Amino acid sequence: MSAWDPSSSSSSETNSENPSWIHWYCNLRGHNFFLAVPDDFIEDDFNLTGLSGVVKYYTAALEMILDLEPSEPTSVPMPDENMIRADAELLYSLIHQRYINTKQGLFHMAHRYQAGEFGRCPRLGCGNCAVLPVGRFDQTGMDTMKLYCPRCIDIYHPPDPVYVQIDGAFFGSSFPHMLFKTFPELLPSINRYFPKPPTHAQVPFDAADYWVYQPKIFGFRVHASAPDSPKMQWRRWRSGTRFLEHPSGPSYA
Amino acid sequence: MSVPSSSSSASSTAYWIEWHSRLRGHEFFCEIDEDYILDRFNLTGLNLDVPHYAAAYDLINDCLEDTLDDATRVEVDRSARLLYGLIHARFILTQRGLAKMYEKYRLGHFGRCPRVLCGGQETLPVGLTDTPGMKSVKLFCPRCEDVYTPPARRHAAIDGAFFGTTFPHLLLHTMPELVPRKAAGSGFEGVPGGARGTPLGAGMGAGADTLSRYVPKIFGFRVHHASREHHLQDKVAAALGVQR
Ligand SMILES: [Zn+2]
Ligand SMILES: [Zn+2]
Repeated sequence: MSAWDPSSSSSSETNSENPSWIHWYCNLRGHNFFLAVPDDFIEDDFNLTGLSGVVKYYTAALEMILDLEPSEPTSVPMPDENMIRADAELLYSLIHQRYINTKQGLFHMAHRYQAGEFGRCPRLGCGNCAVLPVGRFDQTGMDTMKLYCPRCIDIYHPPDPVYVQIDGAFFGSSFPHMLFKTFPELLPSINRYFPKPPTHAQVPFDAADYWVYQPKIFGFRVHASAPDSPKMQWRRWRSGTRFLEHPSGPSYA
Repeated sequence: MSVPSSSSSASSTAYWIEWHSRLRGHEFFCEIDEDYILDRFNLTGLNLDVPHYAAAYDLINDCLEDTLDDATRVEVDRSARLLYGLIHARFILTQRGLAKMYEKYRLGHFGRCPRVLCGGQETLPVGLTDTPGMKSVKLFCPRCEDVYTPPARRHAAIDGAFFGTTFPHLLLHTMPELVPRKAAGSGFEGVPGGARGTPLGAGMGAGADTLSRYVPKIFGFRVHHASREHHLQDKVAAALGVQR
């Protein structure tokens, strides 16, 4: 059961003088959302099914990720180091996407989500709801990482520029939804059909502070017939939404 | 939330307003026209909200006699910034102020909407209250009509009341051609938001509905709880008579 200890996967080898490729890679700037995928997951060929067709220098890349001695060159000429490094990164992104969608990976990520490690929704009406990383695609090279907010059911650009280079494929398009399917108690409780507060101890949001913004000019709403009247509020509506405007008291952020 | 208190002396630059506009995080402010400040009629009532009003007013206009003790001087510094912010909130609602802020908007001084499906829409600063000292400045997106926390931390120290609750909405009201097209089928939300994104597929689904709204999917299948929420939203849209 040691694999289920969230601290084991991220700090087991940090004491060594020569950190493994995976730990080195996960400690790079902007890579702090990544999990260190355990070696035994990568060493199981079943988990890597189909990836050899996507990555050109698959064997060399895999050896780099696992810190193995390079095997005998099978192709002549040998690819240069930079190409292998790029392929190792590509391969790791796809392995990572698969791993975080496993039970064990989801467990680690849920733990980090509860600690708010992936940031908060930039939308004010979401009351600082914690977000999860997500890709819009499962393939690499398509789009960068986004952040998914389960309260407004929407995706956002990360506010910090260190993440603008992160490929969304590291997480894939299903990951946050798999996480909430696996741990439904982590879904924010703004809904009538989630009448009870989540049972989990550290729920990173307050149920009462979801609101829909109401624009006003000198205190008056814009008439519905005007070209600038609100037309998008329905898209922020959730069951249990009580206000069409934010409360004016100190209770909202 | 508090008024920034870098109490460095205001006399380091020739003009107070110039110095003020160069302060960290102040790039959302436009420069108030001198005529506007000099017309006392525009400032009616502000003396009730600003301590050391007369001295603060003189400081803004670079004609404060430097005979104050240090403690008072610090207070007057703070009051001048408060006064300037409150005048700013009024000025940007005038025709001249709206034009100045429109120019800043056009040049992208206020940043972009963080919502991916807004495709990099430019935002406008807004306050959640007109009372100073309550809430920092936020960003209003004319496309999704929602308010967001500015991404840069330096803006957390800028008072939202210096922009006010009305400004972005009055700007769009007076210049309705700035309102992004929102009806379904206009295709505007097909604009990829990501740096490298182009095709819409996998995570997004197809059709006008999914283009305007993020659709959570697990390995290609819609997520039940999200579908239920979307169904409710559709009913709300119908009830509000919104064309989608
Ligand atoms: Zn949100
Ligand atoms: Zn937007």
